[in-house]
Amino acid sequence: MNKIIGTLCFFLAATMAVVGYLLLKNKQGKHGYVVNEIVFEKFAGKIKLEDALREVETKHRNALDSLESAVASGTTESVAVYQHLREQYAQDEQRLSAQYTEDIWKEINQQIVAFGKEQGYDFIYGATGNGSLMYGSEAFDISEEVVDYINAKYEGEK
Amino acid sequence: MLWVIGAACSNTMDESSFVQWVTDYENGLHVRREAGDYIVDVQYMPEDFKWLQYRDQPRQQDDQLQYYTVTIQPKIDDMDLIDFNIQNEAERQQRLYYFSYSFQNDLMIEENGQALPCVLYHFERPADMKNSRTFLLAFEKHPQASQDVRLVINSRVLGSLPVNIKINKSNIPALAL
Repeated sequence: MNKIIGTLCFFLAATMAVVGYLLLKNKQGKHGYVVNEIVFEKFAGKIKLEDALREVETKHRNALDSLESAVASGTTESVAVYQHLREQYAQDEQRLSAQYTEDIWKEINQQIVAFGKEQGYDFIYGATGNGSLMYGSEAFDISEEVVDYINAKYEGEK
Repeated sequence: MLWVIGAACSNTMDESSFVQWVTDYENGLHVRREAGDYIVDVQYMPEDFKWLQYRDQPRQQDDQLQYYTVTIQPKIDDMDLIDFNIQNEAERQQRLYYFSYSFQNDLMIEENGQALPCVLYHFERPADMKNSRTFLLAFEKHPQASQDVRLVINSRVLGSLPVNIKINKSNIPALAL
């Protein structure tokens, strides 16, 4: 009799342990983190906008180069025009760069939310290298997965 | 019985099933995606579908164009596409002009590595309370039609990044007449 009770207790304890483990695991949910820098650098949209920005910079530089000969002649007016243009171009490039960065992050954030929902994640953390995530096991690093997903979406995949 | 089996094998559908199939987001001809602060909805219109939409007009044979509708709406529900992120009346007029005319130049289809410009453009402006706006577009057909095409929207209004949307035209059923 005691043996039967003992066996039953053992099975009850084992069942409770398994249920407890499953409940705990479920409560902890699915986690992952991305290294923000990697996702940003490898995003195809970022590479495209970087090229676009470089094109604008080259155009500005060519325009300034063509003015340099006039500046070399030394008239006050030409120097003023040159300086004004140089400042104007620098401001334009800064504004464009800020706009591009904002739009790239908007897209990345949007797609990470979509990725998380589709893949059933409860949390996706962003490691920025400034202490927001002090440590994460590499097993939870989903940066490459996220990059593939975002780039596929960028190319127009469903 | 034989007719039903035959119809199933030849992939023909009655009107309502056909319309349902074409507009179903799962079948590749109707795609919806978020782009920055906007939601873009693209519907490819196969010839039979277009004919059903505009049935009062005679059916065109060998139409050399491929047709799409693009619907754009801001994510914020109560803002109209024309008024969204607008500071004053002058900007509003610019936006209206842009979507009435210039937006056509920012649209193209990529098919077999070739860019096909938008050759027919119509900005629908119905008097309704919706915050979305619909554009009826047509692009030339590629001589070697592909199953996969990509609509590219390169509009500054939607953001710096181009919006790429793939349309999959495989297994389109025929309309049973």
